[in-house]
Amino acid sequence: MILRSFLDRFLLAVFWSAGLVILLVLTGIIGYLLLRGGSSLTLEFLTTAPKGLPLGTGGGVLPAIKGTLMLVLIAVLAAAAPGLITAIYLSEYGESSKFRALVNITIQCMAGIPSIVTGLFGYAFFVVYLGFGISLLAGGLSLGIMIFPVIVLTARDALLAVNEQYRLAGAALGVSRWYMLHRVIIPQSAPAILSGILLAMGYAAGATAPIMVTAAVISAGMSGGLMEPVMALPYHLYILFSQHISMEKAYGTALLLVLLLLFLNVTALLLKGQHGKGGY
Amino acid sequence: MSVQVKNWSVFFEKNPVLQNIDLEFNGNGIFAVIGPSGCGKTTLLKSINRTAELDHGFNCGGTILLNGEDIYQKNDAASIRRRVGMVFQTPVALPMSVRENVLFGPRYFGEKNKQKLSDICERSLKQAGLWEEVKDKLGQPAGELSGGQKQRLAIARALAVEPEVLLLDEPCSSLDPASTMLIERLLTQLSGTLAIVLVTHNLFQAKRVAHQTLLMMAGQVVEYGPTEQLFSKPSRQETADFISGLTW
Repeated sequence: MILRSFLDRFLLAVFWSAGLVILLVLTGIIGYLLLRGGSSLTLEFLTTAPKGLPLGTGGGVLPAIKGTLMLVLIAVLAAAAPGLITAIYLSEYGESSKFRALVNITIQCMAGIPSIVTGLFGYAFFVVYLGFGISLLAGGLSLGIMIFPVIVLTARDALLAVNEQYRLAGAALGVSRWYMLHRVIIPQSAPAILSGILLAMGYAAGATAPIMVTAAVISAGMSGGLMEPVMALPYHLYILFSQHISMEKAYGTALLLVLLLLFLNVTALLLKGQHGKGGY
Repeated sequence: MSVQVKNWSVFFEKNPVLQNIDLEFNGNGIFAVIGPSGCGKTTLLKSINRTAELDHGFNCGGTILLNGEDIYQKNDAASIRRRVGMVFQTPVALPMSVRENVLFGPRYFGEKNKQKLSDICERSLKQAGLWEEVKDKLGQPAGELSGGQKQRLAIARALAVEPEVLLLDEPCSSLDPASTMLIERLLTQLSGTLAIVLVTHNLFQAKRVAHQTLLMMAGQVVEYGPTEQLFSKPSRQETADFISGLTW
């Protein structure tokens, strides 16, 4: 008995310290970024374009902020609707069909494709074959392909998490599946679906590989044209430190990017916490 | 009202669950289905409103006639489900207000007139014996009701589309004795105007409320007859054993 209670306490300590390590790593990273980049995160940094020679030693990152937001927006616009439709198919229709199993496996595999491979595909298909060139559109669509499986899988699980009894009660009344979906199942799972979309947006905002060869450049104007190349935060960060342009600005950019992702992820978590608590 | 089940068999994948069932429910009243766990009671019930086919691997043979009409002849299972209401073991309150729960079916079937909807809501809740308890909180979330109230709400929701038959699958198994008594009283009242098929594992319940009782074992009918007779003078040894508790 003594041994067992010792084992229990020992395991509790192990699990507790695992949680503590994760917390320390995260606060460590953010703390370090604050220390190194906090001073460069000024209003000017957020509201001006990069300056100096080489470019990036001075000024700010406004075009990169704008570029990243536009890329994420295009990615979500391209991936959300097809993602949701696929998720609804996977959770509500085609029971026990082989096609559904195939789609499920395909989506899982898609989620495992390295992002640089998605970038290569985006380059070959959007940039070269469709002739979009290095552009906002090509990069946004490549990111869209990357986040599509994330949206499908989170939305599918959100839909499946809705009480099965509701579906039965609906079927027993003779109402259609679609009516059940839009009156009950989708409203119930909406917070978790939105949370998944936000997580996917964070994933897209931080991804560098798919946009390196499809959209991002060292310097771009603020035209915002779909067919123009753009600056983006992660790519800008990569250039700043890999070319030793300015470590100070690199840390500032990294801090900004992490804060943006933190904001998206925390919002997603808060939304997910709402799940099933709609007052009903 | 008549439900005729003829030579009815159900398989899931290749496992037989019901084998060559023949029986008939005629007129209004309560028809109880009793039997040991896993004997196919629920499958039989779900066959009558075509919800059994929603389960994986469903296969069937034979016919089920509702007022003489073969319900498996049509492709349109939804219209059968509308005519044969069903209430489940776990009380289900849809995540919306009490009123919207009751009107869920009528709205789907196209009723838009506010006065009519309001009348349907009141009538159904009164029939389900819930009106007095909820009339001042129709707009409140149905999830706030107690288990017994949710079950009566589920009955009201089924009654709102005016079914010809009401199926209940162990409706009291998760309820306390007081709520159970309320539901039994309610079923007795409803049986004057409606055919009710009640699956129950509670022999006393069958004895208390049912006009006719059917005993099933291993997917087959053992005995079917007036409740009184089945319990007091069973014609088969299996029935006598089951009701005396020997083969539970």
